[in-house]
Amino acid sequence: MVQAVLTPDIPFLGNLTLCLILVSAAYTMAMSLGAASGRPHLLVAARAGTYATCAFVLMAVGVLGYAFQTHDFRITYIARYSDRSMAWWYLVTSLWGGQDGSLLWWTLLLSGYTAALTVWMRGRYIELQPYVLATLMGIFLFFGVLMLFPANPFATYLDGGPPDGEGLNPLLQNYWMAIHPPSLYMGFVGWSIPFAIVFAALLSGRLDNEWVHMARPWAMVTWAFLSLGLLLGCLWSYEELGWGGYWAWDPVENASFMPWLTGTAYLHSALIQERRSMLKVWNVFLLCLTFFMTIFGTFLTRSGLIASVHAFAQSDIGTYFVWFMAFLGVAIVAAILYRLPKLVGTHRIESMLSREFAFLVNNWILLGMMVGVLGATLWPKISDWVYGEEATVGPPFFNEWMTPLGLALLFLAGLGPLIAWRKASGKSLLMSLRVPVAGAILAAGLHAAFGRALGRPAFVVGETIYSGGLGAIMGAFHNAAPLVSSFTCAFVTASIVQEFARGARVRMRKGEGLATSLIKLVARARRRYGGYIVHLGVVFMFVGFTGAAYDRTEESTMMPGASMNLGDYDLRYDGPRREVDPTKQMVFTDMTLMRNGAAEGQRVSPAKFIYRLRPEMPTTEVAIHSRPSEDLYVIMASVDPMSRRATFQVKVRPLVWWIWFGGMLVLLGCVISLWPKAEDLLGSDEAQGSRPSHQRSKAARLATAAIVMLVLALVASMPAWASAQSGSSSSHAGTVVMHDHEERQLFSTLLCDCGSCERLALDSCACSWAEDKRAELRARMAAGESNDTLIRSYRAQYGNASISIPSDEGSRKVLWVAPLLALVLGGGGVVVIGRRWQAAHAAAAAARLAAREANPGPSDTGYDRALNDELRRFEDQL
Amino acid sequence: MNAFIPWVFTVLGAAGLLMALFFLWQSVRAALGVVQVAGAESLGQERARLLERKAALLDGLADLRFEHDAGKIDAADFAVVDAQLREEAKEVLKALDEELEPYRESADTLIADFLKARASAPGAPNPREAAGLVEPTKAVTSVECPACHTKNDSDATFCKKCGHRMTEEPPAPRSPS
Repeated sequence: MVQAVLTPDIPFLGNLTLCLILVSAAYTMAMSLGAASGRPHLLVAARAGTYATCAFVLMAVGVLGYAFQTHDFRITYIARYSDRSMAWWYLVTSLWGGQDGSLLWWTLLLSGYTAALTVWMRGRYIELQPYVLATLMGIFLFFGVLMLFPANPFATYLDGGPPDGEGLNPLLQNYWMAIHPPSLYMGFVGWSIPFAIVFAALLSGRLDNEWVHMARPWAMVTWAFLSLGLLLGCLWSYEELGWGGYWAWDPVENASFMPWLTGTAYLHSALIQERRSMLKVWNVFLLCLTFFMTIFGTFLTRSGLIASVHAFAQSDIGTYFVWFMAFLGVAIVAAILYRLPKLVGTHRIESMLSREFAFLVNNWILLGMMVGVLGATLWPKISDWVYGEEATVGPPFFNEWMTPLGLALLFLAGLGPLIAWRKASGKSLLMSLRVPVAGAILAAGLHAAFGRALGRPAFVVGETIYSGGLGAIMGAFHNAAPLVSSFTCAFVTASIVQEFARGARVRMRKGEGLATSLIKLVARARRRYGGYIVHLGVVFMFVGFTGAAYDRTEESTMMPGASMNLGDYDLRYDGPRREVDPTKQMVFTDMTLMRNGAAEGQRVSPAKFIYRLRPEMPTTEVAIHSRPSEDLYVIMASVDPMSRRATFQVKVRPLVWWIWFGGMLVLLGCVISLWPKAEDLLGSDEAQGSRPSHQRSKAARLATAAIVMLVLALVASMPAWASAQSGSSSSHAGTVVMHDHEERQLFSTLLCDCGSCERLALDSCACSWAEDKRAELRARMAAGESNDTLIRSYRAQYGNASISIPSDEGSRKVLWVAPLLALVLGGGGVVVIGRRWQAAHAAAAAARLAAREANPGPSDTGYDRALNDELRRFEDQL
Repeated sequence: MNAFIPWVFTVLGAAGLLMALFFLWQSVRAALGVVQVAGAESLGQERARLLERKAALLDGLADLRFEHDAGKIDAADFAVVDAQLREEAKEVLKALDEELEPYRESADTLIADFLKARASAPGAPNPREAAGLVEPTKAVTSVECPACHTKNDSDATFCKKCGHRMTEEPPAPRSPS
């Protein structure tokens, strides 16, 4: 009907819009630069130009969406990612289902952020605004060029296009495609805003704490979205991929994890600058690095540089990204060097026993993790360039190195809050440590004493990836990892609880009740206590991660009526059931689940979906029965429609539930931290422009409320996702069962080499090649060959790339030596800097004291009184 | 439903186009100086920096006291750091005052000039009265309290010593007829 009314040349209109985006962005950039060079009236023009650019992007999305809905198959992108049978909502998700469209989607999100920022900046940060807008327009220009040339979503077929499209990959036709990528994109794109702010500060030379205040809410919102995106990624992996895990250290996962690490480091070190005007160079660098990592991550995903399950099809888009990254790198380094004299702070650390120093150590570990992940992700390429040989770095390598670092970081999250800002005395720190340490020892003791009886032993047989001394040390750590984890988790929890209790006690001395004092305590310093809640969430997530040490798997082939048992669970197979819908055929196998021999059971129905368009690729639908203590994860490997005989794989995954619970706490903490930003960031009225303050704060409150509602809505719908299991799909068609620890260790090291699957490890790949290989290796194991020999012969046969742990011989040790060395050197550097600063501070304090004694100056009791008044007013506000 | 969705995107695209054109028009007008822009004045960098510093120091002081009350920092350290922070805060307050000094002076000069101009014009009313800042000055006379003979201001309603009413009774409120 619409086409009858309007028969526009959509591809032309789309391309025209893309050109308009470019023109408008360039114009706005020119206006911003004009405003920056002392023509304030141009700022108004630049602001309006910014809105116009964002509106053009909206128009482009409208045009593409329209083309999808009207099946305009003249456009390549539409023909490749949709077909006539698709429901309208999948046509909407196709907007970001492929490379070209996702870039437009990315630009749309950037427009949303930019427009929100421009509204928010109205009437303040006048000096920074032109530079902020100019930087953002630069980013728009880059994406505009990408969309117009190498990844044009409106590119057409020369011959007029096919009659019907190829359709969206069934793997992408599920609700995860609707929520997971947009959330992750929000977390990626959002870093453009803090980056634009810091870059504006660099360009304008206004390098006080102004930009930190300005960037703070945007960095927090983005961080929250990035965390949510990562969490959803884990959920998606756990529920959809059907291999029973939530994190596989895939290059794309790493690409989103790296900005998260640097972003987390920035959020912590920015606090030091706000509080102490210290670490200015470091903060500028960290924020620029975070933005750079988002671009780098996008490049990694889209250039086809590193093979990955997630990667988009290879394209020449990579070249553009390389140029952009080179330009970005040069611009950042040049700007920082140019402004270095202004960035070098005069304030020094007072004592190494202070919160500031704890934050420095936290930064050091986070950066160390980032460097490690980066190196290992790029290792296959480095190995190719340097040694001319293929290599693979699999999950065992990452787990081996990241677990100790993660636990150290977690420990710091408990220790940091106990240390006072500026200077803590050893005595008061020891006092503060009593409760957390007692709690930690108690928890570890209980775990060691009763863990085994509860099926959660304190010591396990951990993975060892190296032979020799290093392997032995790391192996020992991993054996004790559950105990270390319960010690650390209890320590952090006790320390956070103590923080709340102490704060409440201070307020209760003023006569407030417990509940009132707790509420007011959080309301008074939402950022701090919101942060503690985030830490608490991370503790719960670690509890969940620790549960992975106790995974159990069982496999069984049964006729209807037969039962299988795993731990407390009995599963009775009732029989297969077939359902059909327009796009697919679904085969469910109904089972009755009973715990501890209970008479009444619950029904679980793992399934296989066979899509009409891709019958050769049936998907596995897992059934998950989730409880806080453990998840039961049921996979149907195969079912014979004639005999009704089915093979099931059942996994018991303890404590996974706590990961999602912890994730929700993290988001709740973010919401609490962000809540007061409205008033807080409006600043004092004295520093404001001409708009009436009630109007401003109303607008800001509305904006905050909108953000908060969005986050809350996402959080609220989380349990639904966690328990949902319909409409899902998986690329894993079969299942694998591991019989013992030796076997798991061997098969997790070897990668499938059939050539058609995604190089999964033999412990999860279900293709027939892997099945045969496992049978062969099992026979050789039974014949007495050791894991080492088997790995060596496998390497000889299929090459280095077939081993998930890269070779550890000679100069290849650099893979782990380099990050380790960087960590140690960084640690040494942190200590040396700390000492030097401490000395410098002591000298400066002594000099000031001497100067005062030499020249006492006029009495300033008037200022004493003024200060007390100010302080009283300040505290009353809280 | 399916016929409805393309319209949503049509409206979206059209709205984008209209908004873009509207803002571009605004932008060009602003750039050419057709529309007058409200003064984008802002405080001087120095003052903004000082205010920010003041806020940070006040925050630091409040937090220090809180941490001391919570038992995280002992009395001796608290005294040292608190004194140090107070010293810095006072310096900032002083600097803020000094920063305002030139403005004060210029304000004083302005007032003085204004007064002089008024005074030099013969027969002119008091400039402060003219500006409505104060009520016109009345001749100061005094009246005696009929009860205790204390001298009161001529416009006193009650005697300042004994409380006797000095003026006539106020008119009785009119009955609501």
